[in-house]
This record gives sequence, C-alpha cells and structure tokens, in this order.
Amino acid sequence: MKKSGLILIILVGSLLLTTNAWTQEWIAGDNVTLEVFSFALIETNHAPISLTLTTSTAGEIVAPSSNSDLFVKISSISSWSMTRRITAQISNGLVPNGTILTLQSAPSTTTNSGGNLGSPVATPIILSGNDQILVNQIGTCYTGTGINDGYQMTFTWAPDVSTNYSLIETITTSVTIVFTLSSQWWY
Amino acid sequence: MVMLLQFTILLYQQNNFIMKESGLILIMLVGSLLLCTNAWTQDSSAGDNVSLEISSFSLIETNSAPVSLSLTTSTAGAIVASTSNSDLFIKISSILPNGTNREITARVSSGSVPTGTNLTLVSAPCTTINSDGDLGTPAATPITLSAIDQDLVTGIGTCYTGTAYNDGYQMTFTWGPDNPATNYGLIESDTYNLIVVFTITAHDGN
Repeated sequence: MKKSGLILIILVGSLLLTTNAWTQEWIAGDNVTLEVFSFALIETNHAPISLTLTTSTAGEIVAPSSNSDLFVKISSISSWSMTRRITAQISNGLVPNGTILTLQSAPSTTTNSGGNLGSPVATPIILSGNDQILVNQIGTCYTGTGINDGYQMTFTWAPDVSTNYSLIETITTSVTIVFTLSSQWWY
Repeated sequence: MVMLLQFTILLYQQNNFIMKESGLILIMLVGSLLLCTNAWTQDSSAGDNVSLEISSFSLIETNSAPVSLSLTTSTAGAIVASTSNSDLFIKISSILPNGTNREITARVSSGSVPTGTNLTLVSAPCTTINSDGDLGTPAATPITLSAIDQDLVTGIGTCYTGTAYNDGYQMTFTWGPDNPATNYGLIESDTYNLIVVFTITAHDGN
C-alpha cells in the first residue's frame, strides 16, 4: 500500500505538472512570404543625336563633333551575388570610313536616383559591332525617370587620325546604338 | 514503458521521414530558384539612332604674304633679269563625295600684267607637316597669268593643308620680259598693282 500510495502521489504530481503545461498560451502562426524578383529595365530619353563634321578655317582638319543629349535610365534589383553593367554596340549601320564614333557615360545624375549606380569606365569606347562596357558595378538602383535623369552619354564623332584623311567622304548616314543592361555573377 | 518507447521510435522515424521530405523539397526549391535565376540573366536593351553627316565643302585662304617684284639689272648692256617670289602659301580644307576631285585655279582679277612682260605662277606640292589626305598634284609647268582661270593644282580630294603661315601650297611668282627679242621696247617704268584670285573649284561631280 505504501508503495501504491507513492505511485499515486507521483501520478497525481505528474498530472498536476501536465496541468501546468496546459496553462501555456496557444499560439497560432502563419508564414508571410516576401519576395523581390531580380529584374533590370533600361530605356533612353530618345533624344535625337545628330553630328556633323566640318570646319570654318581653311587648312584646318574637320573638328570633332560632340553631343550629350542622350540619357540612359535604368531600374535594377540585384542580389548579393550579382552586379550589372551597361554596354553599347552598333546594331545597325556603319560609322563612315576615316572616322570614329566614341561614347562615354557620365556618372548617373543624383537628383532623382538612389542605390548603387555603378562606375562609368574612365575612357571613351570606340563604338563597333561588339558590346563594350560603359558602366560597371551596378547594383540595386534606380536613376529617375526625367528626360535628363540617368547616365548622360556623350557621343563624339571625329576623324580617325590613324587612317588617311582622304577616306572621309561627303555622306549622310544613320547608325543605331543599342544599350544593354546585363548581369555579372560572382559564382 | 515499452509502448512509450515504441511510440517514441515511431515519432523519430516519422520525423526522420519529414526531414528527408523537407530536404527534397529544399532541393527542388533551390533548383527552381536556379532555373528562375537563369531566366533573370536575360539582358535588357534599349536603342537610339545617331545621325552622322559630312557635307561637301571647301575653304581656301592665303597667308596674305605681300608679293613684290621688280625688274632691273645692275650690269650695263644686260636685259632686265627675271625676278621671283615664293612667299605666298595657299591653305585649303576640302571634303567631297567619293570619286570626285577639285582644282585650284588662278587668274588676274584686277589690273593687268605690263606689256612686254609676263607673270608666271607655279605651285609646289603641299607641305606635309600639318596636312593629310589627297592633296592633289601641281601642274608641271608654270602658268602664264591672265584674266582666265588656269589650273595650278588638280586631283584634290578630301584633305587639309594645315593652318600655319608656311603650311599649304607654296606659290612661286616669276616676272620677266616676254619675248624680249621683239617686245622689249614695250616695257615702261611704272608701278603696277595686280590682284590674283585663287579658286578651289566645286567637285567635278557637280
């Protein structure tokens, strides 16, 4: 009986302990999924670019002609393992013989922008049919959407001093430049 | 106790199964993410047109060097000696369509060459220090200046001569008696001023 009594006490004690456990509050949980997709958008302000080679002084080589009306706007969400870059190439048309067309980006405007806007390459690229980097190390950012927001592009058209000047001819032509925002992965 | 132990083992096995299932789901999820990631690597592009234009044009100028010539001799009995001056340089810039050329011509536009004398002009090839392009070819023999344009340099294409004082085509004026055996008596002492006009022609495609 003594032994039975001891078991009873233990059993009752256990029940009491269990009861104490039941006094804990009930908690209901629910998962909230937050998701930001990686994406990249790019657009220009569609500014018309018109360049003319000429000079007003007899004996003078035609002067390089520059235009900085074009702005490239982007929106980018990237991940820890990725940066983006802006490249440019000629997709249609040819730069006239005896001349070169160069392009350089300024740092993004800061008025309406935010984030990691990257770094323009230091020297102008000579435009060709192959993509070349204009801006590197772009992370998550936006440039703003105004006509003068984003990366200001400076086109410069000039005689190619590495070739004979006589290759230059009277011409009116048009070339299409394609800007690409692409991803660079770190793994 | 045995039942409790069996229940515990069963629970463990179920948990183990759940863990395995979770691992599988995780792998599938990561795989899906990677597939999605590949889709996200697509590039975004935007284009813009750039118009390039070179119009046909030509410019001509001289270095404005004064050209002064005198006919004289210091030897009794000698004919007056011909005299030359090569101080004048002509500078040009030219852009023109493919397969066309320009010429530099010269004529007397004001005044006239004194009777009994003639004034000739010849161009040297263009200087090369500050020039480039198709600079043409000077006429091999001097032209005798008159009121009618005559070619000094032909075959000029797209080029520039440089802008320095002594850049361009060096012109040599030579003034002397004209057929002195018959015309020497026509020469009279005086000072004569002439204006010589240099023209770079429109390209021969026009």
